[in-house]
Amino acid sequence: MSNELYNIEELLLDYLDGKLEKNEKAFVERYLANHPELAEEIAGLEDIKVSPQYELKYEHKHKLRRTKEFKLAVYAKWAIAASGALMIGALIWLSVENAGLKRDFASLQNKEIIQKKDSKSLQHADVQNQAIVSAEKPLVTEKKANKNRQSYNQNTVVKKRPYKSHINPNPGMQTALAQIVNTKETSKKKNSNSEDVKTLISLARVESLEELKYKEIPELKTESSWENPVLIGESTVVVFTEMEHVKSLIESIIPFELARVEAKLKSKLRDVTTENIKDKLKNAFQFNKLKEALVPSSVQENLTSLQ
Amino acid sequence: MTVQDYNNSVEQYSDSVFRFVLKLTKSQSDADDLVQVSYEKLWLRYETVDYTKVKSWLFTTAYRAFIDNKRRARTDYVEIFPDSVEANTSSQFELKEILNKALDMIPEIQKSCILLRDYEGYAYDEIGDILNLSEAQVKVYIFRARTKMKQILTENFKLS
Repeated sequence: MSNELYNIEELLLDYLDGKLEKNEKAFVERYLANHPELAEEIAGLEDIKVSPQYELKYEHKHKLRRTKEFKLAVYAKWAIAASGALMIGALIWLSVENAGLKRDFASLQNKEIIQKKDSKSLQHADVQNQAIVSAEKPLVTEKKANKNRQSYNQNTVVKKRPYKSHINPNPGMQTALAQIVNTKETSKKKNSNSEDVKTLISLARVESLEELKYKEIPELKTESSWENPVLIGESTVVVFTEMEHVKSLIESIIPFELARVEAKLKSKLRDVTTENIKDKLKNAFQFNKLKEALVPSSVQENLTSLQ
Repeated sequence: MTVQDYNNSVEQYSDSVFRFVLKLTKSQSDADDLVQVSYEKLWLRYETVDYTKVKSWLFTTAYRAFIDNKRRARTDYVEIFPDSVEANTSSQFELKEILNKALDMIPEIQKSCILLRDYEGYAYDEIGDILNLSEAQVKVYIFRARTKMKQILTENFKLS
């Protein structure tokens, strides 16, 4: 019925515009004869037209006019601004890298202290940690390096990207890391545990969604795709795909909407522990669901109706 | 398009674009902004825009900017219609004024179609290109808009 109504309305407009073929016109006239209320409704409709209010004028035309020199000046301004931003960005990046190196070194020193006090098995685990955490920058003696090489080969932890300084597991996560390494020592499930370690190392941590806009988030290679797992706050793990889309989406929404989405995310995943983190990552909040949360259904409907 | 063509388009079309977005936004300042944004975008791309199509380009850009602003301003956008047209009951009351006010009582998408058809004389398929609708959708929206406006007119003036 609604399709029939839709089609007849289209036909009626063409009828009023006098644009129908003979047979179509005849069809419409028969239809109107059978529906007198509709015939009454459209009587005189062709005269219902609005006319422009010519007295309304745009008063800032002078601001819109341009010359070629104007364009060059604008380009020059943008070029200067862009190069300034690049320089500032480079300075910030250098200082962050420097801070990261210092932090790595300090944490390694702490580990060495623990190593002296604890038992042999813990010692071995810490050496493992050092080997994994500072894969690009080994700070061990030759003896330890040989020891590392043996156990390292056994467990075959392969990292595709260098350890980034902004990946900063909290003390709880560091302990969890050690636990997983210890577990690796006692069990012989090499592949799944190395996956857990690789996954934990690759997790980026942010305090709020806002940070996603500017923070570099490392990618984790899964069997089928590249994903970006992020630890939000203390216990909410979210996996994003298409990180650039996430960042631009977050940039376009207003702050209280971000807070609302964060609350929603945090309620979805709770109590993430090391034992089940791999399963949680598999079932985590994916990008498409995040998009639904960021663009509410009422706005989606408006957008859909415009398309 | 040359720089001269760009400046010609300012003279020829800025008033039309302004009237169109003013009807949509019902705000002078918002309409000013939308016209400025549209022309800024045109200025960035004037060398690639064909002058014969610049008018529809401007209307399309202005309309999309209006939609983007609306989306950013409120996540749950609800159209609010006045209950009735405030009729001037003086003897010199103008039909034109009532019709323009009746425009505010129809849904925005229908209003956009009517404005482009009646103000600018665009064909149905051209309106569809500007508003990202099919020609059939445009015709249905215009039919429904005129029906509604006629109803408002009848209720206010007891016309037969």
